[in-house]
Amino acid sequence: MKEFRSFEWFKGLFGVSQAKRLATLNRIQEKYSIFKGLLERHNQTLKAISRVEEIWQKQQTLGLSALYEEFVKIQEGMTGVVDGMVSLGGEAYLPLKDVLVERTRQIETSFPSSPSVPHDDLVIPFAQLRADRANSVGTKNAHLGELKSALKLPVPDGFAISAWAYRFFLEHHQLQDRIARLMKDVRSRQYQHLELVSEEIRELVGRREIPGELAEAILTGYDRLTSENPGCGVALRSSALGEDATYTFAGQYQSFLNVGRDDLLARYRDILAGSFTPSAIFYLFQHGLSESGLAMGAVCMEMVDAVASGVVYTRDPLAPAGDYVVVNSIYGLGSYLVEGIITPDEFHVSRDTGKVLFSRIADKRVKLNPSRSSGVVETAVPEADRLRSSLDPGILAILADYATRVEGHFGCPQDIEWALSSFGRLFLLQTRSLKFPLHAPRLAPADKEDAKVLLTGGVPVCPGLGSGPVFVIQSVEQAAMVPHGVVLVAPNPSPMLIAAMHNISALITLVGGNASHLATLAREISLPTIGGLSAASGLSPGQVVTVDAAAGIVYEGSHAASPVAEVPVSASIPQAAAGDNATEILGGISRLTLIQPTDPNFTPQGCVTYHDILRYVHQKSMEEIYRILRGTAHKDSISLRLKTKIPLPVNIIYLDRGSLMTSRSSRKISEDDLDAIPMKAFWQGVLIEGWPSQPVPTDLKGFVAVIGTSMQGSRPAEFSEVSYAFLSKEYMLLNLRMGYHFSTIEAMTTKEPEKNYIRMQFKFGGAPLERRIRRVWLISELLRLVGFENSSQGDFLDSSIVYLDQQETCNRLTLLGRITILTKQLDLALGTDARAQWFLQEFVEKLKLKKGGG
Amino acid sequence: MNAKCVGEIMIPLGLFPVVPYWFSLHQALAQQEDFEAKRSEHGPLPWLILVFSAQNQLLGIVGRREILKGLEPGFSPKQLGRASDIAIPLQFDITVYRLSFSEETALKRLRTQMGRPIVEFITPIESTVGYDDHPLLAIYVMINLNLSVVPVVQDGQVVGIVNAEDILRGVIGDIT
Repeated sequence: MKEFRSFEWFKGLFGVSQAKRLATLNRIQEKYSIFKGLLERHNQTLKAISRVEEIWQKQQTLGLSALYEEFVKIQEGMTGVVDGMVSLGGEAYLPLKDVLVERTRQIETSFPSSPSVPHDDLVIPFAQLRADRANSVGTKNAHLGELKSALKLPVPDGFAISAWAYRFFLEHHQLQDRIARLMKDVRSRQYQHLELVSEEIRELVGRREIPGELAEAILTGYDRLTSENPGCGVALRSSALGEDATYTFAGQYQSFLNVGRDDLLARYRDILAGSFTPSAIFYLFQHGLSESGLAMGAVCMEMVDAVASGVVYTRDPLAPAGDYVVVNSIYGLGSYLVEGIITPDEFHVSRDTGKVLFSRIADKRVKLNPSRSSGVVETAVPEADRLRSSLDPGILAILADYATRVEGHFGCPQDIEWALSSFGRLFLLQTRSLKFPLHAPRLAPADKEDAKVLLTGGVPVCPGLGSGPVFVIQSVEQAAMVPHGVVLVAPNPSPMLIAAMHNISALITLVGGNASHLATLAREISLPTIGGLSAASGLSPGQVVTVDAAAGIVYEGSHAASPVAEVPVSASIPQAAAGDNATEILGGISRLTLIQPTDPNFTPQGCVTYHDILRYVHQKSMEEIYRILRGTAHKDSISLRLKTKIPLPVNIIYLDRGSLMTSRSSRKISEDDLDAIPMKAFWQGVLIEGWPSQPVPTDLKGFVAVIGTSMQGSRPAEFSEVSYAFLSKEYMLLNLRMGYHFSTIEAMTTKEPEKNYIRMQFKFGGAPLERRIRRVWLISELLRLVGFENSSQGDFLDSSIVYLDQQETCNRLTLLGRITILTKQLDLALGTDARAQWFLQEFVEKLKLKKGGG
Repeated sequence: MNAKCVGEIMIPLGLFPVVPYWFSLHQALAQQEDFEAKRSEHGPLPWLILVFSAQNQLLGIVGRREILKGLEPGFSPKQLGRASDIAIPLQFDITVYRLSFSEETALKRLRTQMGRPIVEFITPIESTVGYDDHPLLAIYVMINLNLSVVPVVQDGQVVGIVNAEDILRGVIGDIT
């Protein structure tokens, strides 16, 4: 035992114990693993955010439906990102958790809350309904009341079965908690088992009797409605709270036509159960509505014995500026039109004169009519009538008049269902806001044929059309000098370009995809933007081009957008009813306000959106892994020495393998065995330039550090020659010690450009400060030419580039390797600015650097 | 008599071009150009380039003569090709040289030599004098090591260069 202790003591004298080495290695490898996972989650979440932006931009009609689903995913991603940051960086990042909770709460409150159900009558006649009672009876009912009472337009008589009636039903059977529990289960499992749960809830609801009080109210309402025609059928339709207003709920809920007294309560129960179909539940969740607020009203109205039915759009969705209404019409009841079974007749009717401007008569083979008993029946349309117009011009003029009045009343374009009775009377059955798809401007077809394609192949980042003279910048630092109205060609998608983005007509970046910070900014201001179009570096400055960002094409000359797309979306044509909410939600998720890491506000508290948090974490995670790796204790004992003819001792520590380090058998690794992609690329550059061995001075003691001290009067930086490289297959952190200066080169080179980056920091030197500053200037100029963003202060240079693909990242690393060798000790020689310029020119030629390329 | 010390006669280091040992001759000569202006400003200064190691230690000094001497094999007769088949070593003979001389070839050779590292041209530093030493000590070093300049060291670091002409002027001035 004593001997053993002595041995340990002996070992302690001469080196770090195996256990300690292993522990150190494990710790940094674990941290690196966290860092890598964090980067992956960050990337996935950023992609999800981009997806949200795209969905919103391309298909505004989807609006909130897609948004909530994505929000849930993004929220999960954000939690993972913040947890990862805390694991990597420690307690200092705990405040991020609170910030995330707060930002999530803010976004959630932007989703329209589920409407609360006021205590009201179980059954309410149309005559008593106005728009402000939508909370009681649902929007469909309330709008019908508005049409009838406020506009005095013909609406079939009827009554609403209130949402309170639905609550009454649930409470009577004590179903609310059970349903809530089942729904919660669905949410926590992320929509799995949706069908099972839906079935269970529908069974719960479907086998319960309508409570006596409610049944009596409904049947009394029915009796009153049909007093003049006892036993006749009614239409029973869903009218969920929020339906047709913020959300369409189109096709989610049920409707029954020609329902007789005997079936009325059963069909009403079907409507209640129908609010829990799988698609309805899914839809509900997508919109961020909670089950607790779900409330289903119902419309009960006289059936119209329709000879023709249809829909009128008060604006043409494809040409909203057209001064006409669009009428679709079929024979009989309207279901076949809404369900798309029959192609309808289409008419464009002037809003001003009521004249038919356009008509297209379809072949209407069949029609749907109420059956004699109950329900509906399909019958064939007589041959002679099939190609006849289903409406005459007089009715169309009345319809156009009604339609414009309804639009005027509700203040936005409407989608109105109507029916023409066999007595020739027109009835309005429903009205709701018309949804417009957003058309990103595209090149007009005529122009497309003539236009010469200059470039193709970029990634559409933000659709749109923009033309103007080409203006090329080599560095984002030049963003402030970009003139108005140009098509800007920038080296990379840096958020710093925001300085120019409000002034330009289109943006092309040579690298980058659609999941960058810049992509968010571009979409936020709807700037036509193409990413990753490297060939754009060949565009001549001043040349007039047109960018069709949706297609990723650059055309020669200036071309117009297609007429449809040119129509401005005016205030009277809201982009979507849910637009305001969605804009607010999107803002909370994807807006980027935290741009500059040097900003004093670059803190957890400064993160006002999810995107800000991501930006903050991305920056800090890189800083943390850098700090952790650099601070690694007894690096020598866990490293391998690189065997190379270059007189530069480099110790390598692998972050993704353990066995190599702990084995003492071979503590060396040859250049050929380097398999870390970024290190290989960098070292290739070092080898290209090479480095001659220096002769040994005759008397080392006498001639130390002459330049640093005698010319500057300050102590020189410490001299060191051992460098460290922390490597994995796709990552490198190289602390390069080259005499009196050090540089740190950090790089990630994956197959996903969004993850890739290079960051180089450079500091010190052996010469006086003014010469060191000249060297920093020289290096930053070289790097600027190949797309790096630089910031320097004194003799410190911080340079980075992101979003390049793997090959381009490697090319830049090779170049960095060459520059590293070319500029070592160069500070000694940079006595004048002119000399620095001279060397710059020499290196530009030697490295074959061109504007904007590698 | 209080003679000036070496430090008072020396030329401060900052008035000379300094380059790292791996600089090419081309780069070093370019560096020298920057000091032409300084040279005229401070009166006659020796044409020198100081060469430093990676540790910023003074390795050696390069003057015009060292450069020419280093380049000479590039255009001497045995290197010019026409006389390359001559087996016996050539003695200095201007006639032979004139016969074998081709300006085009010589300049081409010279140009290729501009890429050679400056370290190949240096006269290595073999001795130094102290800042407070008597100038005659520097003369002693120069004569014995066949040098025209000697580095001056203060507190273990090179602070300047003293050259023979300045010492002579200083010492003779003192005597007279």
